Amino acid sequence: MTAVLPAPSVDAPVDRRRAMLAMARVECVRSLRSPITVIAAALFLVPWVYGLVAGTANEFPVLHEESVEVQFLAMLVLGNGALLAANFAALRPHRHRVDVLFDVLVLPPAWRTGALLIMVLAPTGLALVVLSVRLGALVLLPGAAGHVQPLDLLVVPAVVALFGVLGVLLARLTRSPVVAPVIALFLTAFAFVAPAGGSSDTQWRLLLPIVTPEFPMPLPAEIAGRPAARHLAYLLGLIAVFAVLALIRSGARRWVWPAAALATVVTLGGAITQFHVDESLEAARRTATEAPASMQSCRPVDDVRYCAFDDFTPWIDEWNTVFRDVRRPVPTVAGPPLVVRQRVLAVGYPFDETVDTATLPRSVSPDEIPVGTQWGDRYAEAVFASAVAYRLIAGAPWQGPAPVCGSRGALLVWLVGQAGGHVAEGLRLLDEAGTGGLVFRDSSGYATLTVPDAEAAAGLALLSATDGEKLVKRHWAELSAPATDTDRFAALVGVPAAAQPPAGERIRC
Amino acid sequence: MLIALALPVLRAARTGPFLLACAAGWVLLAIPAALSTVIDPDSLTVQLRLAAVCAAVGAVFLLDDPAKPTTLVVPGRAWVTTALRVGMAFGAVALWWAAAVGITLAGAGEGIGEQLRLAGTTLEAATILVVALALAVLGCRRAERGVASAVTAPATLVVVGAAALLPRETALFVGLTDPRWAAAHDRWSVLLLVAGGTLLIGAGARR
Repeated sequence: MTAVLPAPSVDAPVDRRRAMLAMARVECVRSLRSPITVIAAALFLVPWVYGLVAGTANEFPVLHEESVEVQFLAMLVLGNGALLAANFAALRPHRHRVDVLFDVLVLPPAWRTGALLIMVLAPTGLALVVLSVRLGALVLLPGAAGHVQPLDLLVVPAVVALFGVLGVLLARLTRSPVVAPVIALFLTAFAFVAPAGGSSDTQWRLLLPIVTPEFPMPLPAEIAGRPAARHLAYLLGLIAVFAVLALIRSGARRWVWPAAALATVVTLGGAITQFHVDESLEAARRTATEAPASMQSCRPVDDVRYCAFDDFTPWIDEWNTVFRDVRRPVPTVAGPPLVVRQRVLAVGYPFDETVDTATLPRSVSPDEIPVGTQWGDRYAEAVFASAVAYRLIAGAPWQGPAPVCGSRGALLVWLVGQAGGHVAEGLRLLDEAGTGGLVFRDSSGYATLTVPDAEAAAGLALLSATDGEKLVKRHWAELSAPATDTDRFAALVGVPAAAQPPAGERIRC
Repeated sequence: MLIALALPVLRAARTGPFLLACAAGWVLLAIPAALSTVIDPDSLTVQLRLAAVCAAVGAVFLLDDPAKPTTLVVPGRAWVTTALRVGMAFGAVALWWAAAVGITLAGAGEGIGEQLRLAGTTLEAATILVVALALAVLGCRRAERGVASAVTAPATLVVVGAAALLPRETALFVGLTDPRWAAAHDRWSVLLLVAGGTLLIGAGARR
């Protein structure tokens, strides 16, 4: 029997768009289930959660600074994870030797690449989620200062998308599976090491996908001056350039050249304009450094007036706690009214740490106790406590640069140590780090208060005595006098006098 | 028998990716060395570590054996070829590492080369290599076709990345002047022993 069948239409309309989206959907799910993506998200969150649980995390984050600092880790972990996962997915057909069958399938190679590029949205979305979890938890901390900047926040997903698209592009350029890990290592190396490295202070660091902090300490948001929007344009342009290159490489021909031109223009525009520094920013930074009063608000607590940049006012109570703890054993406070003012060194920061501390701008008014823009890392607490202790002992804030010698030095160390808690912990850390003297220094860049080793040893020895507070109260006038030396301090409070180092190694007072 | 096997094994091994990764490691070190900027010893150590990971990622490819489906049925000791491949990887990476250290020292600024702690950094590099090879041996045993590098190379990166994010008390990658350097290198030694044991068991066990 013979049956006559109608010939099937060869050029039946094929909905490539739908097929591409279907493939993208499958790849998205596979990408989210990929061990690399899961481990990357875990590596991003687990050490941080561990820090929170173990109590080593800073409970006083500066939010607009955190949203930038987190980018480095996000790039290394989430970005490289997206790069490896996308490359792995794009090379899968080759690995399983099914790419030879592609010619008989509905989707041409360029559309497959398109689906893989859409897949990159999955790790991008995941990055946004884990980042929001991390920053959201920080926002909820009672000690959080400042505000999260949405544009800074968006840099992380953009970087993850960039790395993912790069992974697809690499798979289209070469089928070797060694290339993606090696490129990931190269990107990591560039992020670490100068001249474009994340820790360098040159403007070139802006060419990295992430924005790294310009100063080691947080700045108030209004003078941070980060070109987040222009940097984001640079990133989006770069993503588009890589995506178009991957499409061209897979044989796409329609619209690719105009798209490539547009992407290049956006990239270059973003890359170049982000280097432009507004003059008003420079002026604002100068004001914040030299005359911060106009940018700050003040609040009196008891008889102390605290002035802080608006972002940092939640910390005033913490400052006051430390102030109170340091002041507890002090019988009388001489000098003008007590004022604590937050200081930031946004102009002329000594990046190479060799700047003569005597040339640095000091307190605007000589009667104000300085406090930096960091808190919660133990060092900041101890440094602030030392500034308070000096003010209470001497009747005026420390003006540097000479070290604090004699009985005053020992008394200062004891006042800081007896405050307990984070302050005492910070004192211990500073004591471990210092050589030749106890140096009260944090990254604020301000002149550092030094207590020579012999004085510091006497002060630390008194900390282990049980009746220290009573003795200090009884002999306060003599202990806080500038002429009293360390041996007299030791005799008055009954601690062994520490041996002075040989004359050549002594810190000159 | 070993010598008779050595050349065919070398010819069958995937040396291309390995050489590419080794060259990339050198380039990684040579770029900052060639620049005029003075780089601090800690950053140089980071560079050396990253280069070592690069070479380890490449060495993973030497363990790929696409002929496994055919050699599986041949009477003979499978561990001999694995041992040859592992030995080859060790020898080549040792030579590569000597040159890598040479590049770093040649490019280091005045007096910075002496501040590097090369013995400790070499221990780290050796451990990273042994961990990568152990992963590769285990991966290739599991893979039906004997090719697992596409998985084990990224896995090496993941393991190193996880090691870099360990909490302070158990940190493996520490700075040169860090007081935890000695303790960290005790941990590296233990890790080297564990990874070496895994490598031996993985290579010696019956397939």
